[in-house]
Amino acid sequence: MRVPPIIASLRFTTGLLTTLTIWFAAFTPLVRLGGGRKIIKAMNHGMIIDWLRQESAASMPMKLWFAGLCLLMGLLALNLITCTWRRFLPTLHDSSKKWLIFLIHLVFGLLVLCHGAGFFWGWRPSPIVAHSGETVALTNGRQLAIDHITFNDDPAILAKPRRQWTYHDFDYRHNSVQIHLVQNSTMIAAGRVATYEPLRHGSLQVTLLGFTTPGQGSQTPGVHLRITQAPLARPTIWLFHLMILLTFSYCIVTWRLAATDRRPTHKITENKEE
Amino acid sequence: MLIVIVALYIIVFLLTWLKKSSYSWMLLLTALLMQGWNLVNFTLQTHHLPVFTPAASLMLVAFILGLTTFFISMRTVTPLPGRRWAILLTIILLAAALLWPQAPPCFDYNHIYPYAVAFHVFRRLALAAALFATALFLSTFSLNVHKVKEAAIARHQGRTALLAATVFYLLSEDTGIIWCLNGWADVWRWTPGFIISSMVIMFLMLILHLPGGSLKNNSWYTILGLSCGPLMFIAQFYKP
Repeated sequence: MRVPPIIASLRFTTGLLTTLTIWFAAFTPLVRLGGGRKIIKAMNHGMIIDWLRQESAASMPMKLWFAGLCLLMGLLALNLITCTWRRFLPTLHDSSKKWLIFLIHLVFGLLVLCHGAGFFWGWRPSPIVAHSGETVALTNGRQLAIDHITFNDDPAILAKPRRQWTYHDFDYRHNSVQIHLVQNSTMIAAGRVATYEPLRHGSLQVTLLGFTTPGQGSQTPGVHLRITQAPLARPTIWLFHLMILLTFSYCIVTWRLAATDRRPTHKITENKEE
Repeated sequence: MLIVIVALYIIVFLLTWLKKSSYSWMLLLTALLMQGWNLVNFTLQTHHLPVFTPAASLMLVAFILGLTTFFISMRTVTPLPGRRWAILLTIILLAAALLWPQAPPCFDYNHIYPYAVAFHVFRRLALAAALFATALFLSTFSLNVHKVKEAAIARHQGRTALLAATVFYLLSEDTGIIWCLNGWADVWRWTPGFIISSMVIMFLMLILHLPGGSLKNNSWYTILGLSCGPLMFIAQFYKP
């Protein structure tokens, strides 16, 4: 199938990027029109595919926005593939700069693919609140048991808003929870979870979101936990590292204006530009 | 002390305008030392880096911009195009820091989490680089009239500053997604903050993909290039 030349043109790229910039800018006003924080909470509650399946008139503008975003990213992907095929690959032998540009675009494409696929592939049940000694049933036949909660700070600070905390009120490194995760009577993960120190077992992650005020008859606070499975989270992060490294390399390689580029500029004809 | 620093920068700006470079260097260095001392004091008193509150962040960005202008000017034989604009932008940032409503002292445990700190530091570095690019692009308007070759060089330097801003911004995104993954179990959240970050990245990509690039005397390239700094400023500091 022949792809129209416009799809592989830089003008199409800039048009798409302009549209995407405006599309992203439209998110905040749409959120305000659609009910504010409720919409954001619904979108972040579980997998995006579950949110899309919900029937709600209030979230229809956001769903249309999301569909538009997917369409624009799809067109950008098509533009990237055709540009790579027609413009980058034939000129790779020219210089190391061309190789860098090719690699940056290749890694960017893989990064967007990984990131996008991550919205639809994974497991993300609702967050749970639990206290020491409790066992919570999850989906997929899994159970989470809270073995022990360690809270070395004063539990009274949990009743105060976080913006009123002082330097000595809470040290995130000294408070944690000991858990174990079981699936169909088989232990699949066990260990300590602290703030910013999740427990990982392959792509499975148990994250401590925070502490809650102590339950009735107890001095020890409860915990707010999230269990997720995101197979593409780590590859996305590694691709991001690689893209930054390549962009930095390109910045260094093209730092100096080449001697041939220092002559006064002249009007470039249409044919030369394409 | 901030008022004294602003006054010093105004004098530096006037001396640069009058082409009295030797005096302006000494005053610029003095202003930078005072700014540095101010920021170190802030860090010691609050137990966190000056990247979390708007006023402190503006002071830090002004310091980085002033430092960049100083060191790059020292390395170039010919006067750095855009030096006056960079100093003017530094004055604007310091004035904004002076006039910004002071937030009550607040400590959050994010302020000592390395990835959260790195996220904010890289954001401020990106803003400083983008504003330096703004200064360079602004200088091309006057250079285009009589010094076409110098204007092309200034546009290329602006483009390089934008690339540096892109690298810093991507680093902030990188550390941000690790922070998000460790704190909220996901590399992405559908919130205005994340979407606005993506918008800034799209805008940077747009400038870097304009047909003809920095070599062509393209007013669109110059206008979009210089607007990246203000856009990043609004994205980081405007809270509706």
